[in-house]
Amino acid sequence: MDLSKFKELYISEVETQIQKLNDNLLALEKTPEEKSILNDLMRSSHTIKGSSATMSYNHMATLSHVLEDIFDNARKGTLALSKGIMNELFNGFDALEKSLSAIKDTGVELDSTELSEKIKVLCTDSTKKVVSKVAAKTPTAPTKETDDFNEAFLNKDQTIDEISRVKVPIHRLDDLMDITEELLVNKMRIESLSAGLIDPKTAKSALIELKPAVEQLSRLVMDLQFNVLQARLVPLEQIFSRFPRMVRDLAQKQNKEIELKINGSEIELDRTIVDKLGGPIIHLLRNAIDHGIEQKGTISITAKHQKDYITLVIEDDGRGIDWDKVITSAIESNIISSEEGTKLKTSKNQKGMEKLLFDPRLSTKGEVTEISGRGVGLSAVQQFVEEISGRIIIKSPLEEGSGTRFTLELPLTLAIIDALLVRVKDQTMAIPFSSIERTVHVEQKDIKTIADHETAIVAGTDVPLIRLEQVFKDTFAKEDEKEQKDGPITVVLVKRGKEVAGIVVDELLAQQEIIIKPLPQTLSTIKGFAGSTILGDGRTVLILDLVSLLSYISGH
Amino acid sequence: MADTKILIVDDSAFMRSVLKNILEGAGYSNFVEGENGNDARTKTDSEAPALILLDLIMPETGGMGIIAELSQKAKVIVISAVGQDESVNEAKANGASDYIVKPFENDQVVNTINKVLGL
Repeated sequence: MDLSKFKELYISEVETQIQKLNDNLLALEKTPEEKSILNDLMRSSHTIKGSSATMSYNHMATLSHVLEDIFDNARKGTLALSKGIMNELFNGFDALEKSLSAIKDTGVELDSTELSEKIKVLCTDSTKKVVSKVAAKTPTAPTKETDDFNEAFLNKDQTIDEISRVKVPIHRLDDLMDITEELLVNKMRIESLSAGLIDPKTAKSALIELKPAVEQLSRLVMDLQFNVLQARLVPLEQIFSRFPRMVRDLAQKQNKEIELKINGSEIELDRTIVDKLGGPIIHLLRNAIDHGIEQKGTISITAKHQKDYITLVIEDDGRGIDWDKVITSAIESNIISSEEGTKLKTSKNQKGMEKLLFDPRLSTKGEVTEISGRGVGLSAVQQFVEEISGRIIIKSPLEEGSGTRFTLELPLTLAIIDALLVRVKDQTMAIPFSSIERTVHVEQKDIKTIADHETAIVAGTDVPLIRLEQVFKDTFAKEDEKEQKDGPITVVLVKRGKEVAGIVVDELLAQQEIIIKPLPQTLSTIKGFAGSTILGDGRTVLILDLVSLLSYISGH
Repeated sequence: MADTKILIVDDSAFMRSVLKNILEGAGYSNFVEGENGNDARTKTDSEAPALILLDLIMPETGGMGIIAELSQKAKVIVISAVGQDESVNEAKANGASDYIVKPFENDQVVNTINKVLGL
């Protein structure tokens, strides 16, 4: 039988079961006497075994089989789950997960014979011990192997898989369908009205009716945009579900006892934000575990709906931030002078001190951040928040020198567009994809200059050329030498309605989704830009506004 | 034969799809699905299937405990990844007409079903 058509269903089902295994084993660590958890664990392994065997993924089947045996024995009371066994079980879950993603990417599972054997032996050995009543205490200190495993796991988990699929509730799709149908009706109406414009007899009435029709169109397009944004929402659960395992492993590695409380994982945010959120939260959690909590403590992650944004609060009850030490470190790292530092120590200006904490130069010095209590990667956290037009608020200490609270304010949805990033001289700019017709190479011989204006012949048609360095003279660095090229030039053909123009660029960089941020008030009078965006590397890039650029052409 | 109603009970949607696909290949087309033992009971009463393909290890109510009850109302074939003889014997003693161990061959499934239905 051709099983390939069941592969997707298999993958998504096994993914869910592996997450269940992780959740349940974490729960079992807290309440080891809970028999029903063992039943669930056994059932999940059993389901994975059956499905994997059916798909002929025999390594997956064998590994889940030995896991099932362990849970079955534990359930019957013939095997005690020591800390060492627990770690191996988690190890096994990770191996299943890795193999599953290999299946997803390459179609071939990974060889897990060694691990399966190891877990099997572990199980039989321990069973014998329990059965023969040899009370051997399993070592509680992490062994070398579990250390390696933790290392591997944590490295792996520094990045959370990008969300490539979203589950959309049927009613949202139905709404989209409804709008699409209305749009079709509206389109036919506008078509027939515009046909009516040609005939003088019907022209006047058509003109009168056109206005409400266009108004309806704009309402429908707004509805459409709203609904599409809604369909992009995914629950925070998608990334939060990773954290219990991560915190457990980190805490165990440092011999700390940390409880993680998560609230509001059902709250939904735009996929792009959720995708980007994983890294910053991991930074904050790691900071709290490494530098905040000393022996025993609690970390909480709480997501809450506010009026038109979401707050995400990450709080710990460890030692708070020692701001004096932050200032001292900043002086040592030459971020501020010692006079400025002394002033800041007296004034305790919160804004000023926070700025230091977020300074990337502060976070590069490992031992400095170690004593300041916080720091590693905070500049990255701030950059993320800025990228999505959010805000970050720090409160520390919360009381009497202890406790730290980071509050991230995140927008509910984003204005996201597909754009082409191009280089023009020393500048990178973004051109909205929706306005791009195509890109072409134009030979020098096909460029004519008429009345000071350049025109290129593209497929037999004259296309006016826009040289951005001439339109925005101030934006570009003064040219020392004219970069006169003899070869063909790269031109991005853009259009709006019937108007077509060619933007001359030096290089096509990439196509990517960007988040539009409005220009600050002071810059909003500048024509030619629709806004700006911050790229992954932190650079701010301007987004071209084709409407005003094209009118610039026709104005000449 | 095409309208022989078959109830497929398995907590894995993947397994149900695979089984359905095999049965469709053999000419069956009338299916009802269930996810656990309770589902199996309710749907046996409301849908009156001629045959029930029953998984054993499922959340809430498993399969083993309801074979006796279901086999009064329809033919029951157990399809499970549990392959031990004790389990097979227990299921048959409870009234299962046959027992297929996962992973299975297509022909094995089709032949067993046809045999149990007397086709």
